[in-house]
Amino acid sequence: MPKVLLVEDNEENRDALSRHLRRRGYQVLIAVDGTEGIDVARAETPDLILMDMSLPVLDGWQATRQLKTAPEMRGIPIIALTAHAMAGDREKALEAGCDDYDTKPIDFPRLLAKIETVLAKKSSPAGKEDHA
Amino acid sequence: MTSSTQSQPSRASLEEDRSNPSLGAAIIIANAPDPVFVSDLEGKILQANQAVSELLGFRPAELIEQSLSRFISPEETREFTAALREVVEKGETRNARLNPRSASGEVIPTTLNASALRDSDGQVIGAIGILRDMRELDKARAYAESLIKNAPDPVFVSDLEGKILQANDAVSQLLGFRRDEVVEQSLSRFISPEETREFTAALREVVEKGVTRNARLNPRSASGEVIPTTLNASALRDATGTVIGAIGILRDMRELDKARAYAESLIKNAPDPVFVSDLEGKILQANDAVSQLLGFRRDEVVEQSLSRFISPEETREFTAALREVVEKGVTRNARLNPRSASGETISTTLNASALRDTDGRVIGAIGILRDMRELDKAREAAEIANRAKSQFLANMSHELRTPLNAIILYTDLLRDEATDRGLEYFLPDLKKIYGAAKHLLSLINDVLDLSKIESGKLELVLETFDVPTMIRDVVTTIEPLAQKNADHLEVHCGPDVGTMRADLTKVRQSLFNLLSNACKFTESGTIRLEVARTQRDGDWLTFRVSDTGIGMTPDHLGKLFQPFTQVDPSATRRFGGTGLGLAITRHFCEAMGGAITVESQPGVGSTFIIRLPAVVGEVKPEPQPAPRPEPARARDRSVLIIDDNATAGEALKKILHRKEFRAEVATTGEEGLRLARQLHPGVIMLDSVMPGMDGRAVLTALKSEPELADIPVVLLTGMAQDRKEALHLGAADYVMKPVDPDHLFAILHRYCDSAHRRALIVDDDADLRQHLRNLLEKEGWEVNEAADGQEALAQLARRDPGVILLDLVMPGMDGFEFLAALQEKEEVCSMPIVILTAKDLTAADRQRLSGPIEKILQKGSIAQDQLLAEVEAAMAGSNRCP
Repeated sequence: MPKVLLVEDNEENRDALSRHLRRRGYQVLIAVDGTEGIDVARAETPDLILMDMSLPVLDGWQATRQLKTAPEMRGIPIIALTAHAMAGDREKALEAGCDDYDTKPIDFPRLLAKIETVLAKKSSPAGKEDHA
Repeated sequence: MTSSTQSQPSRASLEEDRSNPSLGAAIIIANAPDPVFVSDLEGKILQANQAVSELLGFRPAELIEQSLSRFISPEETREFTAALREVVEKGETRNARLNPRSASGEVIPTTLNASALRDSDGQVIGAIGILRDMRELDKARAYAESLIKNAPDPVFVSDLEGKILQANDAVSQLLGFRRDEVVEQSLSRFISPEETREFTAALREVVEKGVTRNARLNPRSASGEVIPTTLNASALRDATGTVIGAIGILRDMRELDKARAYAESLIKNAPDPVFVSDLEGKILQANDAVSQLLGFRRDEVVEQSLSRFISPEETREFTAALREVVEKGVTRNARLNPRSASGETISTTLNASALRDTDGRVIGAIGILRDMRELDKAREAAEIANRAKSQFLANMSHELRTPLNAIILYTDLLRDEATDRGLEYFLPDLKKIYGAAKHLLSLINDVLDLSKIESGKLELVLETFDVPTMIRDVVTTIEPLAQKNADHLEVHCGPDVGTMRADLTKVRQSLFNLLSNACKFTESGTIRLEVARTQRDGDWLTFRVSDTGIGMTPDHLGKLFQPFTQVDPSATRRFGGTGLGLAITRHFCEAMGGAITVESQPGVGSTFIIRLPAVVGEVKPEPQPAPRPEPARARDRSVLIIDDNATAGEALKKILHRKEFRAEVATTGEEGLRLARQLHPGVIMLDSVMPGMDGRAVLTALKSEPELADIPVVLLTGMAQDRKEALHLGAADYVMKPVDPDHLFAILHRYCDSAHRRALIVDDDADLRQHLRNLLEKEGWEVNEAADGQEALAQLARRDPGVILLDLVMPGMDGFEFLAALQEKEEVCSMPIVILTAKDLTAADRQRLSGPIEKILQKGSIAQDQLLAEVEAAMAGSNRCP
């Protein structure tokens, strides 16, 4: 059962998303801010992180950067969840090290497809690659 | 005794011969450079020097012992004899004009100066005659006299005391006196005692120092009128350079004084701060508004250098601008921030232009200051408001979507969980909630999109993507909806479609919009998506979405792209949708440089065609849609030519001048940009091949500067392949080299004469023509009419309209034939044409119309103000030439 870490400060999003994911057979870990996200990632080594970009304490961008520079966590793929989707946000996410991004409002089937794609890449022999 | 001895007598021998004065005299005479002779009391030549021989062409032996009268006419002999008598009898010196005949028969004008020759007792024993060759002097005098006579200005010659010796006709005209009333009069007779003093002083300087002096004189004319003049007095010299009088040129100052008074009153009363400066930037005059603006009294400003009020850096800038104004006579603008009397810095713009005298010489500058403080404040306020609005939009977007997202997620979740637990009873209600929430979300998205578009915040995010892949995605997404309506979906994507560079999200959204509309309005039918790439007239991608649905009437078509207008209210309720989708789609297409068109037949189906450039340029999105788009900016007839070939540039400039266009030439890209910023011309003509910064770079630079981006650029090109690229980079049009003047002017008129909005209405329906004429004329258009294609062609030959409104079905030469004939004429190929037709156009019809047409409008379905808007937009937006 793949382990997904959901870092999201909005309670409703957190609740709904985690319930959707669990129904699909994912084990879901929760963090409510960037710092907690890094802690949980370090402790649990999830297969994938869904990172909301606008978080309190430490925002998603910084958390992503920290995760991607830490050797033991660099390999965890991150999908950014970004509310703005303005020109530049996509580039910003990819530059920070995200493997993919999705825009809010979350369309669950769309997100699910991306999760599956990212996880498939991770387990393929070619390993993780940056993909747009 | 002859004087042919050449040997110089010694001093001793001279003294020895003091008793013999004639010998001494003879020696002097012999060596004198002027022609000198000695005659006896009767005029017989006793001695004549070499110079006399040379002057008259006789050998000394032929002169000695001859009477002078042998060489002159009988009248002159009489004159000479009389003069001689006075010399001899009274011992005085006399002058006489003599014209002796030379040995070759030539008459030589001379002046004879005859003085007494005395012996040692003082007795007059003869005369010494000195001849002066007057030929050159006479020539010079004759020349001067003819100059004076023919001079347009009033010119007179005066003697050393100010007595008028000569005066030309212009003097008479000016003063109203006959020449004989003026000549031999002292100038002081015509002017006041004070002026006489002034004039006399000036004359003295002229005469004594040989300089030129000016004085204001106000002579009284014959009719008693006082005539303000300026006198320019210069020295009149004789052949030896001695000042013998003065040449006076009078300038009638009446018009100039009037003009000056007028200019001064203009400046004085002008509401803007206006000042006059000399060539160095010293303020000579300043009006009250200047004082008000700067807080200084006029006397604190006048006679001060402008640099006293501005910083050293600005002084440098101002001085450079002033130099250009003075040297080239051009107008220059500069931002200046003078310090007021209270120490406050005042933000201004200075507009400096050349001040000229009546000869057209630049004698200073006229400066107009514009107080920019309000404008700066307003600009800043607008920017703050703009930023606030952006922030608001971003926030709204987030705030509105967040709770809705929760609704959607939870409803979805509940549906899944209800299914899991076998609670089918709840499913229909949950589905309704889900559907409503999704609909609300799409409404919010559309409203936010449209509000972004309308506040100019639409941004294009360009990326290169594979079109077939994108099509597959869109089709996958639309399939459920197609199935819901039992529609069969057909997709044809050509093999050469390849990649495009555009805003992927917006292309997808547009296609999705068309496809979902097609699905919604088609039940158990077929929906076809065709994607093709054409490389005619540039690289374009065409997306056709056609359906076999309920179709639309021409009436519906007219309202189709308007936001919030329900094509058919009941249909919208039945089929859903926001009423905004197509409006947004059209904006997206146009922002990317493309277009969307539609054909439809009720009961048969509809076809929507999106045409997009394969490479979308990084240009600003379409200006925002008010119900009336902004009319074409009125442009002035000024052209900036950028061509490294200075000769070609100058030649073009001349051609343009002949047709009353003002033109400036720049020979490098950098200079061209600089001039463009300063002059803001109506059109820029840009050579494509230049060393250094070439046409492409200049064009890109021009389009990237907001101040310059809206100046149409016409590319001068020798090569066909430049065209496409030029149009992509933003050129408005092109002209092939060598330049065909007629073609050039046709193009220039379009961009420079937008103030002259001319339309040609081609329609066989006279009432409709009249109706359209009234409509357009009310808006300031100039309208010509033609009843069929033939007449239209004739009209075109006479006058180039800005836009043509063309009916298709006409007797005689119909619209299609007219278009075909038009395409034969190269110079009008890029004229905007708006089709206004009642005909339901078939695909074949559209084929014939594709290319040169700006817009196809349906008669009856189009509102008047929309028609006006379309016509104006057609005229403003036309920028193609095959």
